[in-house]
Amino acid sequence: MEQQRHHPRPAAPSLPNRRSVIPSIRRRTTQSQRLARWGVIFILPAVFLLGLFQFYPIAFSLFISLHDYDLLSPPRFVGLRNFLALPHDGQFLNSVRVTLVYVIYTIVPVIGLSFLLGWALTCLHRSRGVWRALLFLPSVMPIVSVALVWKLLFNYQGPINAGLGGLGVDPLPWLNSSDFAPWALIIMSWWHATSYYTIIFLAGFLSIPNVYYEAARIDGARSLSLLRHITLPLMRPTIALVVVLATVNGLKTFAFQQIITDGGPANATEILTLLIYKTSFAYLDMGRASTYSIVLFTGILVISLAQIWLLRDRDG
Amino acid sequence: MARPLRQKVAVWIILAVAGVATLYPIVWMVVTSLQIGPQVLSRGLTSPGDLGWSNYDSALAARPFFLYLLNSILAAGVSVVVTVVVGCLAGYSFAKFRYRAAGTFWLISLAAIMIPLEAIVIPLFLQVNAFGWTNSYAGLILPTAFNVVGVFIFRQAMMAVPDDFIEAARIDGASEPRILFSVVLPMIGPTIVVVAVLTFNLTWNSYLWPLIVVRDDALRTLPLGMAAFQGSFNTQYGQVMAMSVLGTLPTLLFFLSLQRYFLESAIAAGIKG
Repeated sequence: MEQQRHHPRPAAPSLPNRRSVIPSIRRRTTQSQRLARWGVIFILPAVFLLGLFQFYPIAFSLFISLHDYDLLSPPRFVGLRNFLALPHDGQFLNSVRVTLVYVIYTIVPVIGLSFLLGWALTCLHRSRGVWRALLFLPSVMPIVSVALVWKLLFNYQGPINAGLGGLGVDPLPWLNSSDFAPWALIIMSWWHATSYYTIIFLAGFLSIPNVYYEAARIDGARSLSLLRHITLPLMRPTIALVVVLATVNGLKTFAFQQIITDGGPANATEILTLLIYKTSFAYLDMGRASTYSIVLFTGILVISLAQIWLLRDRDG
Repeated sequence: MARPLRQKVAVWIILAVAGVATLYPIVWMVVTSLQIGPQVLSRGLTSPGDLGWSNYDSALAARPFFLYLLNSILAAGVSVVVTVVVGCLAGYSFAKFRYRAAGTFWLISLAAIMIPLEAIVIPLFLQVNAFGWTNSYAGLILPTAFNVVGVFIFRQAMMAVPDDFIEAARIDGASEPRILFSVVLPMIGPTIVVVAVLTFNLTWNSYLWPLIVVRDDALRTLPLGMAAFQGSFNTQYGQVMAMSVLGTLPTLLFFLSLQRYFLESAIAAGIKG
């Protein structure tokens, strides 16, 4: 702060004039009004951009979902027909099932693995930085690079089948069978997602003051009861955060499915985001696709609200 | 302080397994990108056969990689500027100003983080189409340039700036934008870097929006270019892996040089202010 420029100060208060008899109240209101105006000015660009590129589109999305619209002819109002059709829409139901299976089978092992790895990193001291950087590498790789590599790893002649062959297992048609393709995507997501949540868990572990452990050890607590009575309760907010984040990120996954299987074989990996993309930009059925979008948005909204509620719980 | 030996052994076993599992696909990618000749996939890491740079030559000759790279840098750069500037202003407003509409604006910002791009791509596309922005840099970059998470991160950091500094500058007669620029911003330098890195990464990885809005090869960003390359040369395994390595290098260098900010921004992205 020593380099702060000195501005000429306003002239020292001169002789009291009549206005200064009712001095500070009036001055303060104008001052606070002036500040309030600046507060609004500073926030306007953000509000403008959010309105233009977030709120207007989401409202527009609701509007389209009530219409039949193929981009070529003007939208035709159909009321709730798109929504009422959802329970009988085989493609949609399949996609919801694919999405839920993908999210659940991805996040459960990922949360366990990243908790374990975060804990292991906490136990290190001098070498922690190196290991942390190494385990974070999958998150550094661009998503498309990750997809291209795993597409080849799961190739029929690729190294994963070669490795299985070494164990005496016949090669599996990972990406060409509707039984295995969902698993291929789930397994690669373990690799990709674990690295990110490991860092979050590590930050959580490191925020637990060491004195808690030392005090408990002096009281004769064993490792397992340290975990149960100190680590887990204090890590609850972090665990809740990771569950929410992993679920939301899972629901938003798009590039992996689009690049590796394009939803196939036989729609076995057609995750909701991909169905929205295809329904709108390949089949040009904007009304139906917007209805799917609203469903996805509602799901993510519910989970995000749960997040806010959970995090507020910690403070209160 | 000595941890039990059993725990130490367990930690090292866990880390060794995780380290190998993490590195294997990456090493495999690099080795495969260097393998030349037939039968690339089945050769494996133990007997890689002939190695050379020819896959890189062919891949770079087949597609304008450096143009994709420039497009990505442009998109990420604009997003960083927009998010840092607009986010700073809004974060400052939330942190240090009291006015009646503040609560409403706060709710608007909170609501905005819950609207995922994946759910609004259709109207966004129609909107950009109406602007005449499809297949243009404006359409590619502007709709997703502002990342609202920046507002929350800036607000958090600016709350820690003591009011006394701001008051003092105000008494000295500094204008409000000037106070933000020369008093507040110098005190939150690291936060600016965190938000910049975070935004850069998000835009760098963005795939869905560019896929929808861009048709010309000349406008493709790196992710699009790489995916398109894979689409047309999908049996040229060595070349596809060369493309993957080339796509990974910029982020890897970025990560190695700004590791602390990189990790901090990853954590901040999760916690959202």
